Amino acid sequence: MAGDQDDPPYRSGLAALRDGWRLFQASPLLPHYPGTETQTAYLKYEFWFEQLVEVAS
Amino acid sequence: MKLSTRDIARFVARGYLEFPALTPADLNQAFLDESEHGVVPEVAAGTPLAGAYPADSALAHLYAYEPVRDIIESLVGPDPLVDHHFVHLTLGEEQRDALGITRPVPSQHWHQDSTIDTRAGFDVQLMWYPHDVTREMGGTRFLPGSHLRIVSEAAIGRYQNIRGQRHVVCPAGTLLALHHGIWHGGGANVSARTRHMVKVRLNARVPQIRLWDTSDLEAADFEQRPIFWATTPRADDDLHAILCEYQPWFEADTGRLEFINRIRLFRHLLGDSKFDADYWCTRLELNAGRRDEAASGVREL
Repeated sequence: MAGDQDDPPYRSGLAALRDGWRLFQASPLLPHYPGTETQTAYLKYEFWFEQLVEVAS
Repeated sequence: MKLSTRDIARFVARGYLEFPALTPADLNQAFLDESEHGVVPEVAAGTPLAGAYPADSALAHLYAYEPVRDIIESLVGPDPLVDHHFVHLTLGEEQRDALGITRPVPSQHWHQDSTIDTRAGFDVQLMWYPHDVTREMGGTRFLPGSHLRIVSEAAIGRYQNIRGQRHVVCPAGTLLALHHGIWHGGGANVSARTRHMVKVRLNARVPQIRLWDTSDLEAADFEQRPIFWATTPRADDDLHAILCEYQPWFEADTGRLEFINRIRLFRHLLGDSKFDADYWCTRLELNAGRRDEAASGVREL
């Protein structure tokens, strides 16, 4: 909840990953530069699916 | 016969026009013979098309063939410049075996030709398929409606498959006329036969304004009709409906920007800065002026 924890739960993002957290970043929604608001270019919403698969060692 | 206004609108909306089995069998074979014997001519970039090719070459005959000439003139006008041409060969199993190549060449990555191109007009790229192309032969993959996206050549190569992509599967003599910006790539040829495709890029030397047969252009094409709450079905040849054709790969918001960019290109070709389809541009041009500029003006007062 907002404001209920003065110290971050981990010292770094890497420490969180090592503790089992997984990290996702959604496609950023960027402001439109004046004069180019209607110009299209690369696909805007890009996500990658990851599937973890057990393999024999 | 030159292209119609509806044809041009489809080109503007989709980024290509397809003409199945357009060229005759003897012309198709003449080119294949030249390709086999390695005598396809070279042309310096920027050479006017008239006289660019030896008169007895298959490519000279291709441009002289009236239906092809009419397509070219409708899009880039008379006697455009030859930017370049290239004979794309995708080896089939028989030729791979002869050369000791054990696997088909993988399909080519998505790309837009040349480099970042911000011009209002366009170059036309002709893709000519002088023999039948089956799905196994890996005919050119392309994405309808992608041509107005300004990207940097192979930067789109990380996209794999895109909903709505098409693969050229066609009878001999098929010609595609494409906007230079269309996203495309060659397919993998897993058939026995080698695939040939000739690509020619042509630059206009005249303003690309009303170069086609405009006799189908009517006053009604310039009028607005009900939008959104519109229960009357549109005819297939309705100009506004053609320009606002949806593509399956559209994102929910940016598809509308594609409509706007198509309308702007069509205005450019029409030589009419007021033309609109389904009100997409007019709405944005009412009470013109930028919000940020207006705000600074208020402060000055």
